Amino acid sequence: MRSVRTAVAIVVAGALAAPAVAVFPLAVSTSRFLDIAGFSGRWFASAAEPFWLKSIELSIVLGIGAATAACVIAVPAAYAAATGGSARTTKCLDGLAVATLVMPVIALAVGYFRMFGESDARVLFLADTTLCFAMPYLSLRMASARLSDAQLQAAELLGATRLGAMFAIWIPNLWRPLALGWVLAFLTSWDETVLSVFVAAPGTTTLARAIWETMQRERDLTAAAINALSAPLLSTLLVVLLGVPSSRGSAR
Amino acid sequence: MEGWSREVKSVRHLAYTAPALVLLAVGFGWPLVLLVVGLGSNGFTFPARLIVRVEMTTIELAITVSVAATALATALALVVRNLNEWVRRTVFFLCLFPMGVNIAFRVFGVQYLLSPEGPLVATAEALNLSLNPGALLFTRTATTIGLIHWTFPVVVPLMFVAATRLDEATEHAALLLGAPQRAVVFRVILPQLGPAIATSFTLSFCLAYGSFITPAALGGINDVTITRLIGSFLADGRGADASAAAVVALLGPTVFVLLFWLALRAARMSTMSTRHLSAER
Amino acid sequence: MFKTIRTLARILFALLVVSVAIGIAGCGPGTPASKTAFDNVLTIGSWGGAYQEAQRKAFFEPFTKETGIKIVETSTPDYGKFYEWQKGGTTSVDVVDVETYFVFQAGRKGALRRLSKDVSADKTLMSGGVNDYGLASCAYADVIAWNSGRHPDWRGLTWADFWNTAQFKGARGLRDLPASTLEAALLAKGVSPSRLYPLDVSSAFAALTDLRKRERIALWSGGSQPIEWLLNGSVELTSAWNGRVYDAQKEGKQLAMTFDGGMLDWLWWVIPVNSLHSAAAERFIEFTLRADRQAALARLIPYGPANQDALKLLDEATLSHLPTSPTILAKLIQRDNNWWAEHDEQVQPQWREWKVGLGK
Repeated sequence: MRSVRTAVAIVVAGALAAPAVAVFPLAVSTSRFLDIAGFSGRWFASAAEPFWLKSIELSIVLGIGAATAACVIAVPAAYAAATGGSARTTKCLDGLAVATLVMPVIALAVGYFRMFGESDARVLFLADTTLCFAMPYLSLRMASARLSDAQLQAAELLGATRLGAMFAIWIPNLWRPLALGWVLAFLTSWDETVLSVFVAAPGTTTLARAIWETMQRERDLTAAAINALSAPLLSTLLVVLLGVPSSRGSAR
Repeated sequence: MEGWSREVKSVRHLAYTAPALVLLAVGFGWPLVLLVVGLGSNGFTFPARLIVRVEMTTIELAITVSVAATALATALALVVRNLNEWVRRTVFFLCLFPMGVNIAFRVFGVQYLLSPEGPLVATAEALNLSLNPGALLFTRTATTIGLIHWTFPVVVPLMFVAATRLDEATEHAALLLGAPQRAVVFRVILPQLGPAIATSFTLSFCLAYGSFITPAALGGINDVTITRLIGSFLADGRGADASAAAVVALLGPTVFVLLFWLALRAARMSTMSTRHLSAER
Repeated sequence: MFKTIRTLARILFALLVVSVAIGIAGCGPGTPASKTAFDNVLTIGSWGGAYQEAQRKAFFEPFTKETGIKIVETSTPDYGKFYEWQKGGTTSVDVVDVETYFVFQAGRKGALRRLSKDVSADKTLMSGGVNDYGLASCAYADVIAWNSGRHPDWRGLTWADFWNTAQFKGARGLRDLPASTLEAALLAKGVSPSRLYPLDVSSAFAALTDLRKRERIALWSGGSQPIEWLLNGSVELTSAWNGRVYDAQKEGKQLAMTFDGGMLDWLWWVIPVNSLHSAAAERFIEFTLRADRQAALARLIPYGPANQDALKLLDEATLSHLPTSPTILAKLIQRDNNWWAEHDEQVQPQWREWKVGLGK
């Protein structure tokens, strides 16, 4: 019975993950028109061309910048909520954070278009940070709800200021949810295609936009090569930080 | 933390939340305001019939996807509950792996798998089966499959965590007392998973509803979603129509999340009242 | 202890802020074309795929070598964008490759810049390919294409066959543009080419709705899409541009096409009215219209050159594949771009409704 369950679980999970796993065989395909007839490094070579390198560079800069900015802004906000800040502000931020997660990004793109027209990477940076904010914020909010107040109270009694306690106790205790929030924020920005396609000017191409445009219009499989290299790293990071939920107590 | 309460009331406290509020006001609030303002730029005439029809299609699609994704994630979470740690880790990693791959590529992966020249058909031919998954391309089924693939990695962690928090004692007690497995699942397990299921459903609804890339690549002309419509208005320079469609698009998730929140409150109220009753006894 | 941690934390925070600031500053390079003051970068929009690759080799790279002006490539946007640029006063693309009816329509509406006469001076261009607002660069044909590897017995298909879903089974591909697609529908219903215009729009939409009830239709907007779909079997019959089919055939793919019932049209270079790099843009257009450049393009992809002098530089084999060669030209129908220039705006809302299934 157990082995049947194991098999079923792995097959179902594999089937659902299959479209993403297809990146590996496609990365070494020989032809632009999707023949898996042989083994070729041409897509890896093509990934080193200026067009792709520029877009990778932009995506990395935007990703790190937006994720870091989102964390820097989210940490104090979540801390304020955790240490007796105004309930109204907390609810407002919670609601806005959830809103950025669930709203269709393209609707936001229409607003951005009216605001900035066809614009450059600085607008993308603003947009990405806004969309990324929810990740560290909600991650910290949920984790701090489970953290006991005892340490903070002790710190207060020992004379620490609120700000000091944030750096000395709160963040170190919650480094894991914070790191998870950062990685999720990075992934959000890394994968952000809609705004990059509709709001950014032609010269500003992020990797996500480059992939969307070339895959649908040209079937250039360079994206497969790039993803074959980046995806294992990003996914592993994500899973390690998230932790596999285990019945023996909380996630690792 | 009473010692800090003085600080909380001071102006310094604002510094903690001000950056977040400013960011969200400028990056989220103001564009939405402009969106509504943009409605009037063409004299308030809109292709209403078009927008409504597309909105209905989108909602239908999103509901199908979220039901399927939530059901699959729940089933998977329950199946792996007491299995070997390494099996659980493998399954979990497999489910989450797609999150590291760019969405445009994941969607292409779905096209590739369904294509008549792809591996599915090749395997079927090798096994002497006749399969035509290509007939699914450009149909609502392909879009649904693509969206399930898209939302699945998001709901899996939710359901996995919820499954680990199940009260095994009640389950074992029920089984010992002779309850059939089915009854145990439906009357002991699922009710406990209720909130997680509701959250997964709402989240996957909103994700599927708001997705642009997947429907644009996999959908045919019979499954134009509201996001694709907005996209085509934007590409065509029809700002006012795009604004109208965007406002309608924002309604979907808003209504859903509101309903969810109300349902959650109602559930909390009813558990509180039953607890109250049982306490009195 | 708290103090040291606090100081360290403050330093780290400062570093983060600085890195974010660098990030913002470093995001500078993507400034839109219209904002740069320098005239040494030109943004050009074209149709992507094999065609743009051919243009790159025949036009863009040689132009940069000769003049030092760098070229940023992008795709031709949906035509509605031009009017938005016109309203907004800026544009992000300097030269765009567009179809004939759009040149007529947008020229009349003032969305395009008037070209100076020197651009086309000293060149023997097709008389129909010169306009105040654009210059034709090459001729292409909309053809019917299918995968002969999967269907070796399909030969010489017509639009009537395209609509015959009983005999020719499989999903259909059509361009996401009413121009040429409405003509195809009418031709399938037996309207003779000489009686095609003025188009009976409602009849065409009825035919399209009829087709969509019987078979899946996929609409393509990028020239490589129908080729890709044919090769991976997503569609069995589609309209396509002859040059793209030929390019795949050259790579050894088993695709077939027919010119019967195909539609001939020209691709033009235009400059959006608010372009800030019009001098460089006109230089570029003049460059592409030179006989040797036109011949270079025709050798790379079989699109008929606008400059008649280029024909003398081409060999028989290349000439035979051009849609402007006598044998092929006889089979093609000339699209009435004046009709489209006048009626496109009325047809567009109907097309949009048809696309989502509201068509009558």
